Amino acid sequence: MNAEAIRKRLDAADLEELCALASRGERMHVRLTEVIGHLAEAYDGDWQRVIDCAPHASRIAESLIASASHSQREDENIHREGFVGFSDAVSSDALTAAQALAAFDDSEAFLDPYIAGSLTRKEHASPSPQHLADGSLVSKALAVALAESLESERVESRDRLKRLQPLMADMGSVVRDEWYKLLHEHLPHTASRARLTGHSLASSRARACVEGVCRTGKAFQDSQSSELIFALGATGLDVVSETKESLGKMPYASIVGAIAMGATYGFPVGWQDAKEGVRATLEPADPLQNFDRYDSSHQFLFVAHGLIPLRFSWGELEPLALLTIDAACDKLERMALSPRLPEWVVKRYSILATSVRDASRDFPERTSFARALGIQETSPTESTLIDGDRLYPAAPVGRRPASLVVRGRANREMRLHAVANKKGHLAGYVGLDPLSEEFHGFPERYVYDLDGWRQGRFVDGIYRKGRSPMKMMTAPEGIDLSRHHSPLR
Amino acid sequence: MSLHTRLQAAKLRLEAVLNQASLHDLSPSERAETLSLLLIELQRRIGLNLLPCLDSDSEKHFRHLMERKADSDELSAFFSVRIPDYRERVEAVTESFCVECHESLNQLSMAAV
Repeated sequence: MNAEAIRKRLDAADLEELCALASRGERMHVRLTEVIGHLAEAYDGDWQRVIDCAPHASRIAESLIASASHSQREDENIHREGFVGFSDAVSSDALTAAQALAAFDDSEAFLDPYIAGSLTRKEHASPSPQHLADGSLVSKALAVALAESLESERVESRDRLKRLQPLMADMGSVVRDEWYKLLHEHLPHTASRARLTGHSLASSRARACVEGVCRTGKAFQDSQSSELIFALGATGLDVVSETKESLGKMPYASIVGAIAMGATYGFPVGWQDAKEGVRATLEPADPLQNFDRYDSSHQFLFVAHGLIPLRFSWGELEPLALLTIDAACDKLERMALSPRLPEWVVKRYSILATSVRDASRDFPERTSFARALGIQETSPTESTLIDGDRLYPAAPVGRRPASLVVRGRANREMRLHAVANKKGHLAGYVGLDPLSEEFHGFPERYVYDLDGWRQGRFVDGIYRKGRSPMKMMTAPEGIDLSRHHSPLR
Repeated sequence: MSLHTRLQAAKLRLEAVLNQASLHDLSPSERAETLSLLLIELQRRIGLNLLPCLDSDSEKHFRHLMERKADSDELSAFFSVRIPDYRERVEAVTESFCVECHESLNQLSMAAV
């Protein structure tokens, strides 16, 4: 029986069934905490009914221990989880919680000092109820568990989430933002609690993450039928996976994916065009060859760094391909601030930027974004300058440099850098006038078109058409590009 | 085809998210449990995304297919006809779910736990 099946069956009779399954030694991929948590929700605050179920839950724990070949540590965990689950479920008031815990604590396992000790590890004063304050280890454990359950910050953040939950079905973006904000405040409490009950740091984080996504899923689901939704989701995922498997019979070389590499394998990438075939690829990493992605109707680039595969259309990445890594990542980070796009879409941009920066430590100011991704660099498209356009540093293409040195007035040297516009098309050059700082006290940059004629100024990353107010300048009116090793021609 | 095989792709993606969040220390059983819970949640998200695409007729048809345990060809045909862009939808939901998990784990790694 798996968690999905158990989710649908949550009353005392089913707990009996779970007892029977556990005593037969059947593996259950579910935690007691979850069963109890769902039970509490199902009974909607009717604590007496939850308390009535305590002996069942306790028996499940005992049966699991008796039937499976767990190690001692795992046995303790089973009890600890059940214990914490109950204190979670009945946190409405101390007395009820105490009754429930006492009911659950029928078995002697809780007298194990290790368990009690792990629960008393938190060093703060515990508001223990009078009848539990007898100094025994169990009392201490119960008191600490109660203190945790009643811990104001955690309970408050959880309650705030619960209050917001009914509004999530309409899914306004403001509500959604508020939800994620509250969730991110709440999850560290959940992780801390898991740590307190003996879980490793990684395990605590994983548990908190699972709780977070499940809470969000439940909030989205609202009152819709679980049965239909899960069936539809499972079937949809299966059908897509099946389709991919049949496509997987095609040569792997044609299924370029972000066949993951991560730090171990270097930077992974490739992109494919269904019409034109593979345009570029890196060698797929053999152990992860199954991780294929294929789409017969669209061209997609799959980027997988640090083993997170993200899918980008070529249309999304083309404007970045020619830019330097620094410029492209800056642009991605700026795109990630867009309030108009769905949050998960923009997050992809920041993840990609971080990944590329991490993976490309060498010459990020000189290497093209395309090269960092392993995409074959093609001849750049050229474009004219438009007043108000934001311009980005372009990387060298092939053997051609991205910068050149020209001689301005008084034979002064002036270095020009190729720049691209927001579409990623090469648009001209930008150069710093060496005399500007000397005469005006601030650096002045000028923009030249692709034919080498000065067209305007470069102010805060934006091209401004027109003459400079500077009377004295080094920047020449025009440059004879044929005399230079042009990055463009 | 076993459930394991069918869910392999999604599972690998989620596993990738866990690895990226430096959760290498998870024991095999904890990892398996976390992955299975995440996969179940992913199925809910996919279901929630696909459900609005079904009108009442389609919903009835789907229930009928489920009841008589239709084979994968029938289910595939159902999705192709009733939700022509289901593959894109499943892909998008899977990816957004991975991003959500990644974000959540990122936040947790920054918080003092």
